[in-house]
Amino acid sequence: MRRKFTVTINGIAYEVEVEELEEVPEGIPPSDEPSGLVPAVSKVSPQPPSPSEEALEEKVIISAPFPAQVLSIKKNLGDNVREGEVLLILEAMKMEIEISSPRDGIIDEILVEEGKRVELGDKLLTVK
Amino acid sequence: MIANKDPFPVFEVLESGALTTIQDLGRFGCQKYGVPFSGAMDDFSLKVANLLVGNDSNAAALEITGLGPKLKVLNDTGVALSGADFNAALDESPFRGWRLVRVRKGSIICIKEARRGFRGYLAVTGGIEVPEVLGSKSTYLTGKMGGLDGRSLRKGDIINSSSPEVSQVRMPLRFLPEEYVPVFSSRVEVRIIMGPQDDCFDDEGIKTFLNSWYVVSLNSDRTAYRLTGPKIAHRQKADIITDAIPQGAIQVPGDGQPIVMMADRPTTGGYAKIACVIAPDILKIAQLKPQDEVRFRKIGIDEAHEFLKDKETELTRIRKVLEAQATVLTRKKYQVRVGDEVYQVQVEEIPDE
Amino acid sequence: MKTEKAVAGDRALFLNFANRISPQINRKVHLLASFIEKEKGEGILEIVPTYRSLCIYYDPLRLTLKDLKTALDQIEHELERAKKTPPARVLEIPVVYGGEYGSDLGFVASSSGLSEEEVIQIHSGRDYLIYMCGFSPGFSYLGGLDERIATPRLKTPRVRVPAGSVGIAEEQTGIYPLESAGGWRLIGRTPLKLFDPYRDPPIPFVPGDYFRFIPISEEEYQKKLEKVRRGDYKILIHDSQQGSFSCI
Repeated sequence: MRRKFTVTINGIAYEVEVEELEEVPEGIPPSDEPSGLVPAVSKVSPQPPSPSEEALEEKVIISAPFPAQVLSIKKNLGDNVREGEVLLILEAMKMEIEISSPRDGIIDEILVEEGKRVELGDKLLTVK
Repeated sequence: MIANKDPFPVFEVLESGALTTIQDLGRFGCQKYGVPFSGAMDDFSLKVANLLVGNDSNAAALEITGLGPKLKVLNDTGVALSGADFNAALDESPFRGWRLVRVRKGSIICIKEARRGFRGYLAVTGGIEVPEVLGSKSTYLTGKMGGLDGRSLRKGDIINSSSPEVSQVRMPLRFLPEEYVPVFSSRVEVRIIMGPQDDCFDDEGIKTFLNSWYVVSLNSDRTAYRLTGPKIAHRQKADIITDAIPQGAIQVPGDGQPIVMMADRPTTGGYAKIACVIAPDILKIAQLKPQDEVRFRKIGIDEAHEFLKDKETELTRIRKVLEAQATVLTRKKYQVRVGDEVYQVQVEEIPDE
Repeated sequence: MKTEKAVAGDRALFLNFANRISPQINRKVHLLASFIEKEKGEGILEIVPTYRSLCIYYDPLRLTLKDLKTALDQIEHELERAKKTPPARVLEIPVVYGGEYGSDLGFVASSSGLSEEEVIQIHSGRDYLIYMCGFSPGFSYLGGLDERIATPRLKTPRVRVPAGSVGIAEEQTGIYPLESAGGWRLIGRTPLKLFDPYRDPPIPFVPGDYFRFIPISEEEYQKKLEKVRRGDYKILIHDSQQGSFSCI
């Protein structure tokens, strides 16, 4: 019989269907077949948007979220920055957009200048 | 004016995002006082986000623009993100849109850049609680009224919801089925009705307007989308005797560059209006970011009213679909440990139709 | 006078009177607006009267365009038979002219070849018709500035103009109801709150009324401002039918 469930894992809901195929006799190793169950757990394995610990040694590239103008750059090369600290301010659609550091680190590269126009995805600076 | 219940804190703003405001469906009946509608730029997405968390479709939610906020959850509640497709996370997990997500006290919602579309809505069970100003909770930025003191969110702000309870029983799982989820494009065709002042333009001007792609300029906002492209020629002059500016009206000043008037527009103005965007297509404009492109397709008024009916029918259908999701047969809670990771798991059996 | 109807998108209809600005035409606009407000059935959402036209917002899901047009024709017909004229109301607007309250008074005077006193006398010497309210919250479009004191706008607008500022721009005069940026030449300031979203209605006048500017001293300004803040200031209104009274 097929049954439907909602499985909520850490606040995220998945709809799954479970079908019992046959009883597996004891002593037989479990089959590789996933028995129709959506492997929800593997889906929520951490895919952090900000760098995880092993990435700490690497550079994080900060890029423009949408086309804008660079209003001001708040940091200099080599500055120490903390997570959440404002690195630069973009201006678009009459909004001032504070771009903050996703992690603690050092300003490694500054790839734009104040007043310059940037396009979507353009690299602004890197933190390492 | 009166907050009807005790405030129930739901979020602390850790980062504001590019422009995050509180919006409901808007402020009506006040244009004669010079006050525009304001309200959600993409009304469809706001309505669906509200339905997902079990609210009235007009409840106030956060409107997120381009780059979202980082929020700390202050109390267990239900939230739903709709509109643009954002790169978003709930703690360490991806935070998916168009579905009810239960969030726990202490969790962090981090909404980053929009991957498709430009504006999103974060609804919370009970709706966001702020005083009503002239009948609406919507933020009108230039008029400095509504929402949170008439301004956009800032770091440190506390956001309250008007209801402390998440109706656990009635909302096991709610998600918008794939076929209803809008896909936003950066190159859109928008349907318009010509007039009321298309007679201010010569044939060549109208031909240019209807056959060109226009690019969204950097200084577009909630007031207006300013477009650049081939110059639309007037017959004589661009100025008219000042009259009302409906939402979606396309003004063409003397420079021949069209301006689409949006939620926070001035209520009256003196430039000729070549055409008006139909109501169901205004959100297509609202979801554009700078450098995106738009072109206009002329339709008739009767056809437009049919589209309006279709949109209403679609929403009624969505409401039914979501309500049908709201039945649970059994519910069990587990804590599952996989290696070092601990997962809070809730299993609910729902009817198999 | 029959109006011409123009579709403005899928939810609005314009009713246009003759294509010019005149008090007679504007009076018809407001009269028709008040009739529709009274008679409006289901489906008419809001009405925005302007110089010479009315914009009617409707819900096409509840009221078809055809039915709306028929209803409007009928209202217009009734209106013609009624031949009703609304009372002319004049609102007294106290203004402290010059000094820090109207820093461009000197400029207006010198560019008009008049003394400051003469500018004040001319500006406060006539009633101004409120043609319409619009653009921004509580902003009123006034008619009939004496051309002797017409002055061009500032080349660079001020970033911050205080609420209540009275200004001149070309042949227009007006009041900034809220603090905003602006390029008008400022000649004075009123203590009155011309827009308050927490008041119902948020504006103390209706289009079709007149403003009469009354010069006051700085001391009176401060006193009245205090009363306005406490919420017990009454605007003096002269009504052609009911005489003078105070309200709001």
